Amino acid sequence: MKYNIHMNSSGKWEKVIRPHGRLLQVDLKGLWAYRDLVLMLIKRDFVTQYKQTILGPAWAVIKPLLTTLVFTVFFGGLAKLTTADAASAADLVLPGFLFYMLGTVVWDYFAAVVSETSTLFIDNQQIMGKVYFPRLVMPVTIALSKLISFVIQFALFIAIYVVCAFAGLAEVHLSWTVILFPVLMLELMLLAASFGMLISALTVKYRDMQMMLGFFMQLWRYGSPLAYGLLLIPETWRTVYLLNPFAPVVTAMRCVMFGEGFFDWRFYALSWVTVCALALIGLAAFNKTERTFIDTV
Amino acid sequence: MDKERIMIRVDHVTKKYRLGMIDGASARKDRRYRRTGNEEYAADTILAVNDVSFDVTEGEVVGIVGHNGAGKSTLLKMISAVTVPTEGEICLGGKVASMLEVGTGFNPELTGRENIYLNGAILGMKRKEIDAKIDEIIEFSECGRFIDTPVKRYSSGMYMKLAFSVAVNLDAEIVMMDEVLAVGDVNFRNKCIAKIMEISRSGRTILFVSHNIHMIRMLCKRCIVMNEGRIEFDGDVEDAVHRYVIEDVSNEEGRNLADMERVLDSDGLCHMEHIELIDGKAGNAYETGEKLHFRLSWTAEKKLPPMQLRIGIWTDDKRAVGISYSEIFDPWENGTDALAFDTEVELDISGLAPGKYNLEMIMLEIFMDGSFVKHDALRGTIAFSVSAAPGNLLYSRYNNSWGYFDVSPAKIESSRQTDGRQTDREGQDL
Repeated sequence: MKYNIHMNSSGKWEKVIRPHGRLLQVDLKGLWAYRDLVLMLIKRDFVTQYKQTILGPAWAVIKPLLTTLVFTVFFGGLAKLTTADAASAADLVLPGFLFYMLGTVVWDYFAAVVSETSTLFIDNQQIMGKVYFPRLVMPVTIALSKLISFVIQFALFIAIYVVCAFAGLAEVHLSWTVILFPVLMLELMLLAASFGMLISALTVKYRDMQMMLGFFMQLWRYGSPLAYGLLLIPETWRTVYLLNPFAPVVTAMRCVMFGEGFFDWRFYALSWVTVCALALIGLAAFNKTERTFIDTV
Repeated sequence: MDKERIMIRVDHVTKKYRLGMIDGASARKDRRYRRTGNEEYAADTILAVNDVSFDVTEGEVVGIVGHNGAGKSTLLKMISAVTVPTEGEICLGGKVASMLEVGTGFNPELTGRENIYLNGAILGMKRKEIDAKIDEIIEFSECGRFIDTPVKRYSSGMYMKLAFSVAVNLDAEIVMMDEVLAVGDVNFRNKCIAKIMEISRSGRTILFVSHNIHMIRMLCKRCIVMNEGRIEFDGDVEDAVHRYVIEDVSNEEGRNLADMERVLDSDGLCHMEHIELIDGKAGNAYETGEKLHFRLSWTAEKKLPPMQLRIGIWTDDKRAVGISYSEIFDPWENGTDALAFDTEVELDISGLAPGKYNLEMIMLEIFMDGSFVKHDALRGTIAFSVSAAPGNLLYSRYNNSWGYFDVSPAKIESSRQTDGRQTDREGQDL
């Protein structure tokens, strides 16, 4: 058999499979070529999610409503935790319900993406062990597919908000900044996907991380200003507290939605730095794992 | 064609797997190994694929055979990029569609139609491509009536049929199949084989892994034999099949049976020592229509009741053709006390089609109620070949559909006319 190794690098091949690849590569071309797969998987997730339930997709709105109710009763009604992010916002008339609902809806999306992405290799080993497709299809699908129920829940939030405004229960201080909401959402998507991808890479070989993740997410939820306003955190600790990239984003979200609150460019910029760093680490870990995960999963 | 296009180049590819469990103990061991570099702490590994190289050109249909654990599936996994090699590289000249397992990615909750789209997308088809082929796929799958029913209500056969239909209707330049033809009933399987032949005629490159040697023979011209991760043979399919399955039991001087491994049950009261064909045929080669004579030397532990020989005829690729029960014989009927005998036997193989065969030999005693006890039993004792007798007009045979046995020529008993036509010569029958 004749072999001419030099031919390989001439680019005449459609694809070359090597032991090592570039760690920070994002195969956008491949992702685009498989866009139909992303759509099909999203459709599959949506169709199968509420199969054999009586209430069906109604569950998408029932769950956050119940959580919001629990928060309103316990954190607002009984514990009487503040819902203000900044001292100046004290005069803002805002029912606690809206405060908790926005946080719940956003967090539910975030947590769902993290937890599903973190087990994507284990959950999809059947498919991924048999057929090749750009592996980034999976995190992209998860981030987009969870967006469907988020949009439904968010629409409900808006509806309740509007009703409250007309009933005079809430003051509306909307400004043009509300159009920045998608940017904040994008940042959360990126954060959730990156963090999930990092965990997914770590769970392939040792499942310990999976055990830890549930506890960690619980901690993260209560370490973020969701059940209380930022004002609850003592001034001296606030800088440390705001290093959590989720915190400045969620306060910024309340800022653009309710027109008042806490927004500091420095912390917000820092959250982007953290998210981008995490994205690079997550991507590298994911790319490294993706190539041979089927041998160890 | 002045230059053949290479579609798959496997270049010194090695794949290493580690053995054992992954847990706290293995993690400690790994850490110790990294720190000290002491080989004692290195994980046990196995080379599933060991320095394998080959090229496949456009339009070739290549079979890959090998025993379990030979590395066939690992090789296909690497070519389909599911996992990467530990060393070496694989270059592909086109889009790969792998049918590593039929039905991968089917979702039981979705209907057949939805699953066709989903599975097609997983295998890399665009929605438009599937739109264009969906009718063809549904028709091929024979699941038309159930296509809008969730596949969890399908029978397992229907499930496999649908999955296979999606896979074979893919438009990829390189198609890989790993034991995918074990699906459906005989009719459907034949349809699949026809479809695969059609794919190969259309100039697509096919890699085909199977334990089913008949399938390989039927579909491939070239075949790679793998053994313990290495390529043992790469070339013409017939040569490969000989290496892989065919028991080389031809032996003109006869065959010593005394030390052959006994895989079949028996009570061991007899022991076959030697078998020899006594027709004096060079190379144990017979022609159709001839009879076969052999001498079996054997010993017995003690005197036994009358017994029989059951002679099984097998093809060289281990398909049973038929059996012959000998007459009942009693070597001790003349009152001898001997315990070692040579028994000469005539076996009528005149109906056997041209091919290569070997004999299974079982000495047994059959009781009145039809049950029996084996005294000794051996597979693949001696081989012989049958070729078409000169003057036989049929020089091609299709054993896959014609079988291995020709029933003696049918006799035409009469041919009477059944309409009223008359010849010119009045009153004369044809």
